[in-house]
Amino acid sequence: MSALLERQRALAAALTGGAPGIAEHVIGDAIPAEQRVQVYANHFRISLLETLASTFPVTRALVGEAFFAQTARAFIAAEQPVSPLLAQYGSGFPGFLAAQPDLGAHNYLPDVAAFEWALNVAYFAADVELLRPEDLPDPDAAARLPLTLHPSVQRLSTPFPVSEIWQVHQPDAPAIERIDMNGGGERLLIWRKEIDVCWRRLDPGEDCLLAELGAGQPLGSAAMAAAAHEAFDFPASFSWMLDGGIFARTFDSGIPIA
Amino acid sequence: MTDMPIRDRSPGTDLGAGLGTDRAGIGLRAPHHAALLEERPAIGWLEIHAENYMGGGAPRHYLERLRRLWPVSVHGVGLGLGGSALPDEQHLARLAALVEWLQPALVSEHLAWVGIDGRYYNDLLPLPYTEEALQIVARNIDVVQTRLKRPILIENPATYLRFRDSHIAEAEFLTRLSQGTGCGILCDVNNIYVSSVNHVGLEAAPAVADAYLDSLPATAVHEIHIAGHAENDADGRPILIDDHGSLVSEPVWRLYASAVQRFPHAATLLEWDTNIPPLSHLVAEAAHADRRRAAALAPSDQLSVDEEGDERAA
Repeated sequence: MSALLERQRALAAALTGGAPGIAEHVIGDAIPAEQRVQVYANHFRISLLETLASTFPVTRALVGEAFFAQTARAFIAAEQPVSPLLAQYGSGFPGFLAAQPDLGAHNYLPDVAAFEWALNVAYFAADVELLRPEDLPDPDAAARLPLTLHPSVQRLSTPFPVSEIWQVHQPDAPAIERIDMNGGGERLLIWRKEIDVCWRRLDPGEDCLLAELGAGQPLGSAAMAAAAHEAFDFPASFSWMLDGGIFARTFDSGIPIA
Repeated sequence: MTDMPIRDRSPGTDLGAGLGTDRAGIGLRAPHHAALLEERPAIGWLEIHAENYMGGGAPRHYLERLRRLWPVSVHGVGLGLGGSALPDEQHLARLAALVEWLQPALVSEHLAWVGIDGRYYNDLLPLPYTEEALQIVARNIDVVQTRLKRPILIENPATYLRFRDSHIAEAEFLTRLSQGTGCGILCDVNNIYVSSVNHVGLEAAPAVADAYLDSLPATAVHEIHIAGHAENDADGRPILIDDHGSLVSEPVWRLYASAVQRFPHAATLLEWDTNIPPLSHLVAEAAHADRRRAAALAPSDQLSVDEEGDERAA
């Protein structure tokens, strides 16, 4: 093993677990070697804690600073970034929260975190050209086409009123007197329209349509599956989806774009 | 271990000429996107952190508009040229795509590593300066320059520790990288000062920092970074933290003056990445850098600019 690799593994171990091996390779003087290593270990923990705090601000507000910091530190110890893109750090945090034994009445917390993660993903998702109504061929031909969802599109089903909880923690929050935690869950769509991150509630048919399309089903059979849900209005739903930039432009007049 | 072959690929002196030296540039941060378009301040150019612009949406949207107003430089923080492994192929592809789209005046990265064995640590981590490391970093720079089809600049890091087996001075390490790969050098004077204080103490630091500048090859330095740092206390001894979160300190301004005298062709960039103030504060600090630079390059019988310090944004 190269000496460089050896030093890097030793320092990495010190950053995450406090393994002492690296100190003997570090010059200690008026400032001891251990303390010098500690500067890096502190930065690692604090900078990732700040990253999680900025990605999950509502989750943090809901549980309070102390619990959030404690849980985030445990998460950072368990799961380090796997990409140099910091925006990709935290995908496992909602699941990590769900596995915490002491959530108690905060059982809605993982879903709020999942919603915040979806907003983060939508913000950074790649740009693609959007499907325009005029790209679609006649209805019969269109029914046979699979549609590609915009890379920012995500769906979230939750038994909790997650969007309402999230909204009351926004700076421009509407005055909601009381959130009914037993008022039923919601199906949410999160995506980005141009530069704005958006979300809205889906009815069961819309949720089904997007699930089928996301799985690669052609538009016709996806619409058929969605129609099994009460009150599904395909023209109305498909229309807002087209306007909202839900679909990527993968064909032109029914012909796939190479 | 043999010495790295010298291929005489010193970069052209026009590297980064598109940025100019008339006015300092500022680091581009998302909170200033809209204000820059609105206010169009008198700054020289913009530098982006490559990793902040590798997705779509708002960052790309604003960059697409800002690039029409100012020259742009791409500063990477994620490649980890100092890593023992080759740069991550996926990340290099993202950087290449960004550079291809943006056609920036300069591309730079750090003499540091960022991850190992598939894990990343969100920091610019130090490496031992050995012959082995020199070979590895040179290989990594070669890979990146070949992929980007252009020379890049390598920045000296702020460090809080030194390895016992380091036996090449950092400035010499950078010099030999430049000679061996044709890469240029990004001279961060705040990092030089921070590292100097952290390794030799407050009193000895200015002389050590000046000697560092002296040992850099003047023609290879194409960009200068300035920034603020924080001061922590390690049982009575100061340890400086390179947090880019405040005004540039007086000792760093003095070092900056020495740097512009040695590297007058190099463009200046003000970095401010934490505790980000309103845009006007950055613009004022960048203008102060312009005055410092002019004074440093003026004949010695002219007025010193030190007295102008109080004009700066607080």
